[in-house]
Amino acid sequence: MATNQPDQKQLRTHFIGALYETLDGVVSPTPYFEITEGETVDVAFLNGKARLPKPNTVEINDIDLDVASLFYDDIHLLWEGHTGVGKSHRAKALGETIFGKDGYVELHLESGVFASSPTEPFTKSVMENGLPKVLPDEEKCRKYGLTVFEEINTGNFNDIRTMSEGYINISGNIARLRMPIGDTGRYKNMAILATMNPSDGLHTHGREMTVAGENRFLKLKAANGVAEAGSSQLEKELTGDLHGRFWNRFAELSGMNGEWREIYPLATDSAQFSAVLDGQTREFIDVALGYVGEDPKETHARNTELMQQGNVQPQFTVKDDNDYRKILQAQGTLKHGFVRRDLGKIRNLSRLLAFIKGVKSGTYEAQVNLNDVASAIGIVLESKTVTGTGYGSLMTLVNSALTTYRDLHKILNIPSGYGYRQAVWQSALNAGSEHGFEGYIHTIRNGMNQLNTEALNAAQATIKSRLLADLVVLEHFSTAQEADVKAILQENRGAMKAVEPFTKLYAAKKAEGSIYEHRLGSIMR
Amino acid sequence: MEKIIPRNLIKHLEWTPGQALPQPAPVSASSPAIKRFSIDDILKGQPFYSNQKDGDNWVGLPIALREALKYAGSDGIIATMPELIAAKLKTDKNHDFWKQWYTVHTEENIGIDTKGRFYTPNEPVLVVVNGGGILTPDRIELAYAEGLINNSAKYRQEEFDKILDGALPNGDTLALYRLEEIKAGVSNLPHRFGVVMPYAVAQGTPSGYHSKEVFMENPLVIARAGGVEHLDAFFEKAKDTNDDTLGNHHPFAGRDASQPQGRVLFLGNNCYGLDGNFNLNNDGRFVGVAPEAHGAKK
Repeated sequence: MATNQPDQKQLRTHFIGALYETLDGVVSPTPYFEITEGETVDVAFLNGKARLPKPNTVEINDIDLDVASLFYDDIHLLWEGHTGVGKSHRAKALGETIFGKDGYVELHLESGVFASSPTEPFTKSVMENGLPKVLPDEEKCRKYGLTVFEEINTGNFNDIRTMSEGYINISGNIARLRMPIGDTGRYKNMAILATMNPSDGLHTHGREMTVAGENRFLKLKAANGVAEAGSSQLEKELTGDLHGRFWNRFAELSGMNGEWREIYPLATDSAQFSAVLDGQTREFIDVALGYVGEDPKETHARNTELMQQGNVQPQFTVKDDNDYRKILQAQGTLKHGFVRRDLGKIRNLSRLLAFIKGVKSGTYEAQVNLNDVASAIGIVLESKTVTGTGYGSLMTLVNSALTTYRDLHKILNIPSGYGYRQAVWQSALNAGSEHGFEGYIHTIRNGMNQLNTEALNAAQATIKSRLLADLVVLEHFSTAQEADVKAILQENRGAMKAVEPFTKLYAAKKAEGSIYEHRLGSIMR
Repeated sequence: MEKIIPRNLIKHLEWTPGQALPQPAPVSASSPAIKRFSIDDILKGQPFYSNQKDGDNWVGLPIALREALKYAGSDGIIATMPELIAAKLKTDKNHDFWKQWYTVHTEENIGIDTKGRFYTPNEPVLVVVNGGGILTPDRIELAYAEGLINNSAKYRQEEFDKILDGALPNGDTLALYRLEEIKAGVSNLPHRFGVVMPYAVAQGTPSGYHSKEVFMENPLVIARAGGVEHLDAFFEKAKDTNDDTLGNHHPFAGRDASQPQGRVLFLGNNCYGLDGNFNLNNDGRFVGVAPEAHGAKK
């Protein structure tokens, strides 16, 4: 039983502190990217080449990402890189340090008995009616804190898919890969790290991961930092009792003793960080995806279709100019576009980045801001490129979306942390409390008119088209439910009171058209 | 962060009584037709010609336009300068488009942009309008009755202001682009759109026949053609093969734009090229395109 349990923040502070100290003698960090924040954000992919530290700049390396991923059950990192760059070494070091030699599983999918079934470490054989039968072993399913999939692109992905979702399915017998988080009633999923070689001429055994496969992992390109780190890596070796050293150091820092199976789930409990993004970051996700992951013209056309259904003609367009062609060129490197699962990845990666920044700054908090979301979108996008694509061009698109959205947000004078659509809706509720439905609907139309002006570039046209189309949907919804909206405005003075009943009205009526859910959901939440 | 935004932070977004009613730009009544007509549809369009005279005055132009509009109906179109150029490129010289001059549903208006909507305040501008602007048949006939100025329709300032605001007399909206945007390239231009350029630039272009190099760079040509996309091919197909020139004509030399005015454009059958030099009191030959007659795309 663990003793002297500190609070959650102290727990993670000491856990991370002790971990970094222990790993310091074992692995050399390879710089992955650098986030510079100021008026704008810039995410630079470092590809192993660190820069001189600058104010307002955070360097994030591969160890940071691995460590932070342990705090989020639904983020599994997949490191793609050439043999020998240190992917497996780092994963193994992390596994041995935190979980000990018996507490993590390393699966080489290319060879051995596990090649055909990565579930084997979690199963048992029993005799049933005189015949051997394989079943999930509940004890083994709770035994491991981490599974490292080596060369994941050489194995059968079906079992890996279920494992990435936190369970195994053996002939219909399902068991969760998780362990209890103290007496919270919650569970900590088994962490997963994966590595793969690129499917190029040098690695003929590998193949491109399927889209379904990659969607379940966050693929990152493992840089070769050897030329940079040089002889500093010579002393970094996986020797001695790393596990003992780490947990002893943790005990020293925290005054807390206990088995890793007791402390690790508590320290890395996903529930300690809020999963809710604010209105501004949600809105940025909504508007940015149509620009960075889709053909801006198609996004504009789709939104125009909606606007025209609401009798609104956009006064801006995406021009077929060099700017637009550059966007298409950058997007041409994508193996596949955004899918639903990516939204979760973006949200979680934003939280992960915010957390890493919190660790670096010493707050150990995970306050997600717009820059984190932008960085996350960029990283997810870059993870979707075809093998061999250089870094950076897609991040340029994200930065362009971010700058444009920020400028728009500023010009429209919307308070930080809130989205434009959210602000228009709530100000309409406020106006409606004084001037009735007329005040309400005209405020929404005012909000639409403010957007419906000439666009300076493709990013602005695309982003404005999304915001305007969403407000058209809001206007349509409000008009269709005019009697109910009038009643809400009458009975609840101002947004402070009216938001909740309006949200209930939305929930009750959204089934009338899926467009309501798609376009209004993120405003109402 | 609280979900509810403090009211004082978003008060500026609220509509208040007395404030002008927001009017979201409506969908143009003609816009459904915009994408429904291909160049093939225009090639199958019907010509409407009139050379009628009223006494000594040629009045066929509004008559031909009225007939073409009646034929096209509310869902049809009258071919514009960019459309007719594109159509001519797609057909051989046996087609009537290469045998006759045509009036296009494109008008050129000059006046002062007092508010500086596109360039600087009080700058004289030229507005090329495709797909129908101020000059409806009735308005042309009114201009005849009121007396032309420089053989163009004399506009009221508010008529010109509304065009610059993208508002048409019938309540439709008009998408307007600066010359620079058109030159850079705007894809999927609608049937109805306008191009605004400084009048001084239009005045500064030579009127007459041009070598390919001069023609291709001519800003007035680019504005009239709705971009540079077809210019090279059109020049090659329409040029005078004797001296490798093609025409682009205008009446702007020495003409004052402080009195807003406008007239329609013509497209010559061959090397005469793009023309804004013909008087408004003239014959007219328009190409009407009606959906039911030509099976336009739905």
